[in-house]
Amino acid sequence: MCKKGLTILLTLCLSILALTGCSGTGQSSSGSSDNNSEDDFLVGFSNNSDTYDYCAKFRSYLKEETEALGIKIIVTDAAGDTNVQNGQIDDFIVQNTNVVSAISNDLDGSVPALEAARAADIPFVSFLTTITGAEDYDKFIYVGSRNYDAGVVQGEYLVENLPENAEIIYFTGPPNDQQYIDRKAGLMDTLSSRSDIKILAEYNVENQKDLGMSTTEDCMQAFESFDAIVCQNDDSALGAAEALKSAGRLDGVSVIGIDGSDQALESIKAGEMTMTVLQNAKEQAKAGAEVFRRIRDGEDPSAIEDVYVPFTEVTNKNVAEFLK
Amino acid sequence: MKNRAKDLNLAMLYRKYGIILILLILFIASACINQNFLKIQNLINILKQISVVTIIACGQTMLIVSGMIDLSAGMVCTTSACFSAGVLASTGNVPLAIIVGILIGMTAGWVNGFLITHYKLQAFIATLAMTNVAKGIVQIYTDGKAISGVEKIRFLGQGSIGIIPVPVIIMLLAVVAISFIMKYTTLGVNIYAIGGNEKAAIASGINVNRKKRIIFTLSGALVGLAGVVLMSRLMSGQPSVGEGYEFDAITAVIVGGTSFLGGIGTVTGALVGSIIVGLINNILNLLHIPNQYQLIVKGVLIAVAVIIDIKTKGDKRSE
Repeated sequence: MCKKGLTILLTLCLSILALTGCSGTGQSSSGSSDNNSEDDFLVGFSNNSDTYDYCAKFRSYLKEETEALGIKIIVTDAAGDTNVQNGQIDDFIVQNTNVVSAISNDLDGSVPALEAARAADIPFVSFLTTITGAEDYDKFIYVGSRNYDAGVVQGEYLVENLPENAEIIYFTGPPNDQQYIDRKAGLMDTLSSRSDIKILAEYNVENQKDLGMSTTEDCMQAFESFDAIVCQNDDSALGAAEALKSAGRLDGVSVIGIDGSDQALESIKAGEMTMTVLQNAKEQAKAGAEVFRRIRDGEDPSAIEDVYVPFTEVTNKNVAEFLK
Repeated sequence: MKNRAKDLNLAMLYRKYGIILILLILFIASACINQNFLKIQNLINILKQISVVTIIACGQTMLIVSGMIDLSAGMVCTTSACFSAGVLASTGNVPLAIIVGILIGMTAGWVNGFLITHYKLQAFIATLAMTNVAKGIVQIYTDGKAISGVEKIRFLGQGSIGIIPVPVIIMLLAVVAISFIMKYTTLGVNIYAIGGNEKAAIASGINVNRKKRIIFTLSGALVGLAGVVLMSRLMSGQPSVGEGYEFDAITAVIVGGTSFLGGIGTVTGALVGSIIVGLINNILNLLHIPNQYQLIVKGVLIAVAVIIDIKTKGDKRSE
């Protein structure tokens, strides 16, 4: 009986050996490219989470754009786990990548990854999110879009399209979030050019659809009329549009969000939501690939500035472009 | 009679040295397949990455050997991490934060032990309940968000003494300490006795209930310590990180030769088991195999380890 146990053990070892040995031989021709040589420029990218729509889209675009420039890129998925992401970046460094990059999972949690890159003197490109202490590392490059700019795009649309003496309601996310602060600042600064626009009230709907819906129902009771519901994201805007539609009060009310999610685009096409501010994943990916190219072509990473990709205003007029 | 004695020897031999042989084989295979594997930085990374789970595994070894189990270790680790972070962020006092983290682990451990000995709940059930309670507590405390402002603990999580990262040093200290307890103290003898044959242990005068509570509390302290190390690794208290760590710890313990049926096992075995799991994860990463496959490998590993465990112990039992 024990010999059977030992046999199982040996078989296990041999099968693991065989399995890894097989993929090893398969990889050994590309194995030399895994161990980065002088001419092979290699980039590592750790995605935040492949199951999160926006990140999944972004990752495909980044891979496309980078390979289109003839640069090799390793793409991994951290499945939402900060520890896993930090480990993946450690592994990139061990594989001699020239640049490490990621949609950093957490402002503080990703610090070990930043530290590892700094210790190895490798440039770190962080997409869409930043990391505490990033300002202290000169080879840290941020590529993304500014929340403030999203607020500005909303403001510009409202300034251009709202009737005189318009009254608007503002739905937001949690007020202690930096995202809230920046998006609101962008909106308010832009709206100041039209002193006739009045903000009736501001509600924290946690950027959620259900709260967006129920708060809109309450607003319809509390206020005789309003011209627009401006939201800090698409989910709450969709909730607001739903509520207005059910009550038959969609006419004459502009519903505005931020994100450019697929559902929001569908809603705009159907004439329910009025406008959203699209975060352009493809442009962000292009910008990222361009940074990789600049480093490959010999530019000093510490001299490369952060890249802020502008948002796009999406309304009924241009929604077809973005719906795929 | 002669054959049985021989079989017994082989089983014991496997338990003692089998896993080291497996580790060696995997190590050599990995080194041959990928030249990045043998880099010092890579080997250090592996040790760094297994440190939190291995600290938990030290406690889990004591529990499994004495016939119990702790399914709440992951969530309690998270709770310790977050409370420790909260205390550090608001008071700036590092020793206080560390003590708070360990105390939370010890409290949870003591409650688990109490439920099991006083109310005769199965360890499985009691600790499962504890997981949910801990999860609720940590969600309420953190409001779902990460707690930052723990810069003062940077050295613990990011620093090294020489080339060895501090979390690895803490892990090794935990392994040495618990190994000592299990080999050279009365508590250690009791752990093996209770796990081997609880009725006989009671009959021989061991206050089994009291010992069980002590084992759980000690294991809880280790879970709390693991939480502090986790928090320092992530430079924040993250309510979403740590869930499921008990399974990784249990995997390491079983792969390392501890019997699921109790009475047999060592902490050094758990360390080797943990290194084996970490090594396999690492080589899969270096081969660019997506990390979903690593989950499958983990599952297969623990199944195989338990099968081998039953096969090698089952023979002894049948005599």
